[in-house]
Amino acid sequence: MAEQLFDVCVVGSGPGGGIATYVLARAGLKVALVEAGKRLRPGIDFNSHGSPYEHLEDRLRAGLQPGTRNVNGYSERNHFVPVGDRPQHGLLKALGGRSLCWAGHSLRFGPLDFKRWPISYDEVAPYYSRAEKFMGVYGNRDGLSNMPDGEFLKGVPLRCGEQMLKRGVERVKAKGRRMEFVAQRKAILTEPHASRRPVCHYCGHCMGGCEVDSKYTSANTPIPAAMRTGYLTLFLDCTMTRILTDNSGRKVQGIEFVKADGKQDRIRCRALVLACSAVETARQLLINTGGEYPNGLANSSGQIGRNLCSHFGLSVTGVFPELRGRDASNDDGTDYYHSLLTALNWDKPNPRFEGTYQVQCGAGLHPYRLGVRNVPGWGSSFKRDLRDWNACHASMGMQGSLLISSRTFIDLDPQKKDRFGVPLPRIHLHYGDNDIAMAQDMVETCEEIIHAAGGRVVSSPGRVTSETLNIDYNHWVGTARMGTNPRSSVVNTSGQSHDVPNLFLTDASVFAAYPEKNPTLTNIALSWRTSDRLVEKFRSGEIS
Amino acid sequence: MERRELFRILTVTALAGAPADAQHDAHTKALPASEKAQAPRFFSAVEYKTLEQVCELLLPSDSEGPGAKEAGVAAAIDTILYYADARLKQSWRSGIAAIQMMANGKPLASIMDSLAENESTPKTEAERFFGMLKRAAVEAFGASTAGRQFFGYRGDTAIPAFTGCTHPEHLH
Repeated sequence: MAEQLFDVCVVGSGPGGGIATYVLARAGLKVALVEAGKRLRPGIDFNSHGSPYEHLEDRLRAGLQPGTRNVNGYSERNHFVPVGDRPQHGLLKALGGRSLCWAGHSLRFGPLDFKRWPISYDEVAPYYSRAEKFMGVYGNRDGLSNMPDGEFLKGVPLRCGEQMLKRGVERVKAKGRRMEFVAQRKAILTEPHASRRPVCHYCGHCMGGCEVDSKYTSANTPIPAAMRTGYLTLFLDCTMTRILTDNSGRKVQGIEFVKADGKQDRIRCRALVLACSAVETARQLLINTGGEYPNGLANSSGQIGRNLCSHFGLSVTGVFPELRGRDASNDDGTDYYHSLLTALNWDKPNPRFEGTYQVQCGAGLHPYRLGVRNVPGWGSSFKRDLRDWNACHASMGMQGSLLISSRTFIDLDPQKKDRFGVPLPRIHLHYGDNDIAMAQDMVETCEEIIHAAGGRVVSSPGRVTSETLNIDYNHWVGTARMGTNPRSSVVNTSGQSHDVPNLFLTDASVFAAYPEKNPTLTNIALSWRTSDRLVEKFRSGEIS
Repeated sequence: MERRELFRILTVTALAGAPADAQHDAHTKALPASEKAQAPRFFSAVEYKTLEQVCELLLPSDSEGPGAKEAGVAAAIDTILYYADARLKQSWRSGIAAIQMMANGKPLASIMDSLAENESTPKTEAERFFGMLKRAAVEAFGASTAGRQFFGYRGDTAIPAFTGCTHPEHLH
């Protein structure tokens, strides 16, 4: 059978790939979307409303941990090789990718954050607006300088414990500290929306997979819209194993992939969009080598896999006796974190470390995922404290940006391969003194806030070491960074490869620098922008 | 939204025993049969009895609500361990043995204070195991119908709006 020819082949259907597919198909380009996983059907393939042990026996038999039968059960395992300080990597092969299990946090990077990018906030701002309107993002207009307000649906209020933290922040600010405590902004519908997805019913299972599609995912909004154009062909359960190029490695011609039945196939395309995640996209480019590009496709700079960054953190928890006896019967809301401590070190760097962090704050009683578990004692008093402390607690989860380091990067494992014989990526992670100093500041700041609010710290790492830090396995960025100099960057300001003009990247691999804010909204805005540029190149004949 | 029964799968081997007292009975009447006792698949009968007793001492049925027994805590742990790897299985076997040795035939209630004495910095194998057992027991209790009942949790339901904190005094 003749190989099918498409204008664009998009590989990966997560946040970046989903929006690219929509923008390209809506422009009338013939698009192939290649996704390694299948479509997960709410209520059939996952049931986040079910109790954790409802399918206990099935899960255990399948080698899974006990827990709710949610979309995270479909995450890949053993798909990378960890090196150093316990790196983790979330990879969900399913239509929608990790947009299925994201929390929905949608924070704009601010003008200061873009100072180290080759593009400015003003250039991205229109795409933030488009993305927010398209996705449906709730939030309050807080007027913060470096986390600009967006196109918001009505916000979701704080819980009692979070209100206590806000009180603590106000008291600490009165002593001269610069910080702000605001409600979260999330891509979850709080009122009717053009997408016709239903308004949230506040069950709190957002990250387990929203069963009713109130939370934005690639699978429930851009991909169905792209399907309606008639220009999209879905290739599900298809794993890309090779990128086909001409001999020079300067032009992509298509991809080779393996289907669910194990058979190999190819499709041809005029342009290729990779949106496989910062780790997987780097891996795919590194494994594709040739005589003219021995270090990997689009890698004349040698930067692919370098500049790896993610968020890291730890948490501090307090209890507030004042909240004892309150009605804590339904605090579910839109998952755990409803609030955010932000505006720390934005315009006045901390002398002890470089960079910034934010603190995601949550509260509320949820028996399946108790916020406080380390209650001392036993017997009736222990049982009572377990209930009361959880009803009265608030927790603060740090999210700081790793300092870019030559010791933290991605390369290919020389021995280990996946089931298709393709080398696995190695993730090298090594925390530095800067990271530890930042985390120590976070611990001290959070403890101060809890005390100022009249609370008691019941869980804290105290003195921070690299052993106490945890990496955010969903927030890797920067492995194919954007820049104007082809010798020090992988893609230009349009997300187009410097080396391979018909290759575009639309995941977080292109991030040129990483602030403390969650990456997905910026990923989607940049993907939209890159896709618009790609459409322009087709219309101008630059790509044909 | 209707909640499903917890530990539904465990009903296959459930051996519903008669509750010991009226209070216990009052709690269990509201619970699915699946949260009642079952024959152990991983632990021996003697080990399981020790586990059940420690769990019940830890999370007792009392005037404030149901405890570990009604929640099927020991049954959940036994099921998880039935499918666990050899290392985890061995650590639980050794832990139960350490507790039995520490009790040395005395009632388990008499050693609970000692077990909990160094919770933050456990020194003996029995103390370390107690921490592990406690974490597992709390996890299973929270996930159970009985646990939800004790916590007074009425969430995981469809509500039209989330009101959040309605107490102005919490801010000032």
